[in-house]
Amino acid sequence: MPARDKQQEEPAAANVGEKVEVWLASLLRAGTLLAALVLLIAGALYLARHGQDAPGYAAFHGEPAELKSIDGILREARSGNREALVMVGLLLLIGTPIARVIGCVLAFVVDRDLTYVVVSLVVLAGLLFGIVAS
Amino acid sequence: MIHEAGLTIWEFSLLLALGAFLAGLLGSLTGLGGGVVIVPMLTLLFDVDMRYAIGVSLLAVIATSSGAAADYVREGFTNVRLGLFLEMATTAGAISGAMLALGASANVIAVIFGAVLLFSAYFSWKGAPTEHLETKPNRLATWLRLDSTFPTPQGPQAYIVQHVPVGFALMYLAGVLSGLLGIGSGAVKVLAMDRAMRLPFKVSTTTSNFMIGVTAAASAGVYLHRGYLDPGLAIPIVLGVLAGATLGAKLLTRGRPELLRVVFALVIVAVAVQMIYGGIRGTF
Repeated sequence: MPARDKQQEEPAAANVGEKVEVWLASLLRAGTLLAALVLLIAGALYLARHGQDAPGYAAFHGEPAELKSIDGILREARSGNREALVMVGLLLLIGTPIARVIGCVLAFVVDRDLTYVVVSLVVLAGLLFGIVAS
Repeated sequence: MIHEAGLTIWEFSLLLALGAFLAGLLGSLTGLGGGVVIVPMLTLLFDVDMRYAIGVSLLAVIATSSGAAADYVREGFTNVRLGLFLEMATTAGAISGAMLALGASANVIAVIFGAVLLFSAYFSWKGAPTEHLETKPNRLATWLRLDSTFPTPQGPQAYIVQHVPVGFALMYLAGVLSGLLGIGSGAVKVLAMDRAMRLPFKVSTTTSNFMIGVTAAASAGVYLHRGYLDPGLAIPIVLGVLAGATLGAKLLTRGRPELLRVVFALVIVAVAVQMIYGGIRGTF
């Protein structure tokens, strides 16, 4: 469990549970930083190509089909589509809180806290439903 | 109004990034969150379609919530068990809200948005209430092990959670509003935890922030599949809000400026009136 490694560095945290919280919060920050970095680089590439175009947000057109699904975005990003690269940054951003819930599931499994294993699995199922089922 | 006509994407993006930076800064300094002003800013000031505005606002909400979580949890106020338990309600609500948003007219959304803004402003105006720690154990809270402690200068202080079902129902509502309007619903979440469940104010606000990202991620998935998440808008808005909120959190260690909170609450009231008026006239 990662919390054990942190025992010396985090004297403020009184028990194992709190150290897991600190670790999960660091995970959130790292995910956000990574997403921001991808957005920054992909954003620069996007603006370099489209910066001189006219924006068109006054009326809703919706995104093209290939940017509306995770596999579509990953496929387009691999072939160098700059909008899709930005979308990869957005997927990282959305994935960060989901990763935290997965971390909670694991932490409660290690703690043998069955009630909260179930609670965090229900939350995770809701999140995956939102992403997969719609 | 800054209409996009005549501007290039570069110029438009710079203006959006500046606006988002200010929204993130003020949102974090006042504790209201940047999300509540992103949608009005985009729709009223930049003439962006409501659906794009809601989608990108939700992304900004995820970014600020995740970015700030580390600071909060380190302080030792966040109740992770309680947060996860209530997230069952907020994620279910968020998905319902996002589904509702797909069918609702932009004008109806604008009126509801205005009403929520008024509520948030009122809430900000009243500020932190006096502490009211309960000593009577609650059977459901005990069974779920929701009771915990929070740090005070005198050492850890225990608290007992009350009215779990009412809090749970309010959290579902918070989730619906988050998915429908693209906001964090921090004010409703704090209302549920602080007023209904009788938690210490600091624990309510930090646990609320901890939950906001998960709630927003639930509806972001729905928005992605409907083409609401636009890469060109997301670059300046997400990066701008994140930079503003990060600076705000640094400045906050010097104390929360009272005057700024009052001014921001007044701005929000003005924006709320404009959203409701525009929605009734059908201009969205």
